[in-house]
Amino acid sequence: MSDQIILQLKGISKQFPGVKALDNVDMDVKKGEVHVLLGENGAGKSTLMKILCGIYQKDSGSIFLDGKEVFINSVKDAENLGIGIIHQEFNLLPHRDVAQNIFLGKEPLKRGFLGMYTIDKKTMHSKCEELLKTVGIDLDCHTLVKDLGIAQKQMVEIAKALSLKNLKVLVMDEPTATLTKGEIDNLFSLIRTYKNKGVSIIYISHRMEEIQIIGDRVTVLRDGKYIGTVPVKGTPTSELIGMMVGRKITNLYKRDYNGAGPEVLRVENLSSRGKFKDISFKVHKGEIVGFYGLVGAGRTEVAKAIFGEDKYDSGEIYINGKKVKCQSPCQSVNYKMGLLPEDRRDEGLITKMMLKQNVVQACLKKVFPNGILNSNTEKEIACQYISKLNIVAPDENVIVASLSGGNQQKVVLAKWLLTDSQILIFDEPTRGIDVGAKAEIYELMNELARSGKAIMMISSDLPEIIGLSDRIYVMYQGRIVAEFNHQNASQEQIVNFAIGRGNDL
Amino acid sequence: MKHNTVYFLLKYARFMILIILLLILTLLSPAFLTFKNITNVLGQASLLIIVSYGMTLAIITKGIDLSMGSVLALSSCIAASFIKSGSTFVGIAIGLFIGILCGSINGIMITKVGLTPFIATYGMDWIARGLAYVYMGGTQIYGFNEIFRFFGSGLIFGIPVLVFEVLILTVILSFITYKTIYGRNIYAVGSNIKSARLSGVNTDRIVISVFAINGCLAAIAGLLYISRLNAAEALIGIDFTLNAIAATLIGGTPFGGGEGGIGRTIVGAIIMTFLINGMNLLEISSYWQTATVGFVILLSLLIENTTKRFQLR
Amino acid sequence: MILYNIIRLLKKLPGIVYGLTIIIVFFSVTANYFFTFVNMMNILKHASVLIMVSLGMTLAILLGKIDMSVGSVMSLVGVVTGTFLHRGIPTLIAICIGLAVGCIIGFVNGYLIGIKRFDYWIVTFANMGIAQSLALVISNGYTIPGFDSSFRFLGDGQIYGVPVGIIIAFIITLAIMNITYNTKYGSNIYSVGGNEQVARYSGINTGDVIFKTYLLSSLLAGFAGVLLISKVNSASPIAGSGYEFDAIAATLIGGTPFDGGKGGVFGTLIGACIIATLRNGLNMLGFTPPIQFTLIGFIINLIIIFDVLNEKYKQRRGGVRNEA
Repeated sequence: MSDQIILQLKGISKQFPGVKALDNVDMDVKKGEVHVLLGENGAGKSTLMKILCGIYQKDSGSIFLDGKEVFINSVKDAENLGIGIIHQEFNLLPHRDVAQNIFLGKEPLKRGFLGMYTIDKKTMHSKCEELLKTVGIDLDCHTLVKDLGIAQKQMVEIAKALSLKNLKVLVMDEPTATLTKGEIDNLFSLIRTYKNKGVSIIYISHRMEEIQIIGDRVTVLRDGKYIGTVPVKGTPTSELIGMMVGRKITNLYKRDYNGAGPEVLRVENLSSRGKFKDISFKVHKGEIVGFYGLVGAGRTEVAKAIFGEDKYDSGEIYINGKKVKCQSPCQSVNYKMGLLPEDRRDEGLITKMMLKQNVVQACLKKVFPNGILNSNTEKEIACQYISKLNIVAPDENVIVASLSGGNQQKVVLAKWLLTDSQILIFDEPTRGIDVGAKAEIYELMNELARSGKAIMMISSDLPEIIGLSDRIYVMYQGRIVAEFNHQNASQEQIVNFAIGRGNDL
Repeated sequence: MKHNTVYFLLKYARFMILIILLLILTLLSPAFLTFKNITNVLGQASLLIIVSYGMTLAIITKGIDLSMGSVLALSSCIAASFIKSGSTFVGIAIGLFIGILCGSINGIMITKVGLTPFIATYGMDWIARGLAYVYMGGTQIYGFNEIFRFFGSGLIFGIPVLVFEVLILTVILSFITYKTIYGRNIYAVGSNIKSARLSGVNTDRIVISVFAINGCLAAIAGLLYISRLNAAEALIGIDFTLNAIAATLIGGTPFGGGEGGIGRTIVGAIIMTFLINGMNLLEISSYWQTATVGFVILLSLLIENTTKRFQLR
Repeated sequence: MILYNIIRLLKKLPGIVYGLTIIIVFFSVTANYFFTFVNMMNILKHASVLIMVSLGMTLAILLGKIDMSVGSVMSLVGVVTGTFLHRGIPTLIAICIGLAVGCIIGFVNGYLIGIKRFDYWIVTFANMGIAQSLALVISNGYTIPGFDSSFRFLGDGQIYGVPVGIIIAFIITLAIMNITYNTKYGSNIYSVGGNEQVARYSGINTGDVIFKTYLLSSLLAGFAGVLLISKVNSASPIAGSGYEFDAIAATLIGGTPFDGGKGGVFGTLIGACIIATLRNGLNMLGFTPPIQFTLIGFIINLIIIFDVLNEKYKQRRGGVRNEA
């Protein structure tokens, strides 16, 4: 690794409706180094990389490659500059074979019949074989992608990125999420090979032990801001976690821990093949139970299974001591459960309808027992909640699609409060919401707990989880690996369990 | 955002088009703006309006119903034989039942089997039409009794009964879609079916029932058609589908689902009917009619597209 | 090279070829005069028209979309060509003018769907009506009768006992096969149909691919229209009506499903032969066209339902694979 800086990002900012994803972020990458990009979910890592690779456009800031300023407006621009990315979600066509996927858009051509240019399949497949050998997998280039295992698909993605001609910077977004130890070793030796060739690698990962093995320097982002860059050697993991999480747990989270009441929800040995296994936990009246874990740990899947939206294979669910099996959300609602989904827009709100219509959506029969709608009743109810939850909106007739993230979330909350549910499941309740609105939502959740609701909260925001929960469950790869009390919860311990290092402690 | 003049113009474009049309037609033919003529035209439009209502409901749920024309034919042909042989009300009941049955099958195909509405109703379109042909065996049934014929071609105070029937249907459907929980859920399903389901709405039941209602509307339209025509044969209703889609789109119920409604469609259907009426008056060959409908559909798409872009500003 | 591809494909599609054979055997046994030279010629002539229009439909379906206007384009092109033939315009020029008119519809389809991103089946549905209307206007509702023998040779003639039409259809199928299996454009069709976003992220100009495909689809429908009027020796403004249904059926049976990105035109070739044989056989058995619609519609629905349920079943089982 040389000391020459090959890539420089200066002052990159990006605003999405309602949230500032990146705020004046700087980053520099040396030639031939493995530069780790670290941060919690929502810190801005993915956004920054997508800007680098031409998928998003930055609002402000500049990018310098080899000392010259460059303008990246499309994926092709980035590729021409030698910047490649291996996405977290696969960018592959399942019904085409490995070679076709790797050379998608860049197929080698030859002059054929009647002077027409046709795809030189022979060259394509032989080049593909070479590439796969370099990457270190033994695969027939004619295999269709849909017939590959997940790890193999990952390898094809990697090969695809490596097929760029003048590769200078390679971004890897959580590349080892689905690989076995042996495959990870292969990947690392591959990374080292490319390092020696002078290729710089930006490596996004949560796995601390991997960072220690393969990384040279680490840049930490938090809440869209640049926190700092430190060398891997010499920086203890605890310091890295500290930089990641940083915020002091202060009175942002006001919780009156008012002693748990009787058990309201009990889940025993819930399993769903491929998603989660042996999930058992309890939630009591007046409790907030937090679920922490990395993306893909299986928390949302558990929530959806409990709520009746997804099927599960085995296990039991008890509400107030009675065994229930909800085949669909409408049954869950009858059992007085409510779900505030992760995807507010597509799953939480009827985006084309007005605020007041959304508020009554979950309990129409209760509000209008004779089946006939009444606009004034809706208005009254909506106005109550607008003031109670401090929703910022022109009036109750505004179409919810135009509200900010925080206010949209409040509308979803209003909807479930109206139903008087006793069990509420919050899935990432403050994702994409500014600090002011977050504080309000925390206050509301405290109120709800105080009034006796049983709350299950899924969150990737560590301080939030520690600040609000009575108890915390940590999930890793589909299983519950730890349970903490709010008194003995420590940031470092929780994160360690979440990244699978629990047994090392 | 909404105070943009262009946006304002586009939003009320339909009403303006309707008024312009009426003006033009009045100029072209002095006899146009008479009570008799208007009610006559409305009577002709009735059948299209009924089928368009069904199409609108399907489109609000983010779907489509391509089978209405054939279901119309099938249900009315089967009903015709019963009506002809004397049992009028049994015939009507059977006709309605067939319509509801076909519609329900559409709904089940969409929700339980997982076919897209386009494919499911396209398939039903061919099957229902074929069954109609089989049932009729290439023959016609004509000559119905007075009572039955009254529904389609009678007059009350000089106004076609059809107009009253459409009025009643409009009131009922408007009430259901705009004023009831069921109607609210139809719009919810069309806008964000996932959100609706997670809010506790039984989305499968909504979709199936909407298509069942469609089948019923198609049957009603069919019965009125044969009553008016005084004959039943297997190839009736072939051009209804395209015109109903046009009426719905022109009226302002977009394909995205979750918006629009009965009230808008009636405007669209009336515009369509006056357009065709006008073309007849101008003695433009009827062969141009389908092309005009096609052009109007594409124009509506363009207006819709442009309106959305102004809305987002 | 192409021969090698054909043999390799033949090995991959035993199912529907066996199906075709079974159908032929069935009708030979149950219907008189089915397995005669004259009747086989008829089937091939009908098949040649159907194959060409189905090719265009298959391309649209491979894109993950559909082209509902092909039937009307057939009628329109037939009417335009017929009109010009009657005015004494030389055969080749008349055909070119007809095809050009058909391509206008394809241009509109491609532009609105590929560039303006309008909904694909509303646009093709509307154009179906427009093309049909234009055909009626141009012919004034009449069927244009009688062309001279040099033109009729296309649809009705034979070379060494093989109908000219089927030879033309075969050649065009080979050309389309070459395009879809060997060229970058063909590969792009599959990519756009497989996953439009992935295609775009890989630098493919998806709008361009869609535009070209709809143009091609109308061109092929135009060929079919020309062949049809040559075969029946008249140009009816509603001649193509209903062909879009058979084209969809041929595509589906041939193994190209609606989601796009899978299948191919070779299967459609067999599928079209099956449909043509089915129609002929049912006719010989005395079933009228309406009943044929119902039966074939029923079979298509069954195939689709089976296909969809099969995919669902495979997805549920696929969950096992994803376990780390």
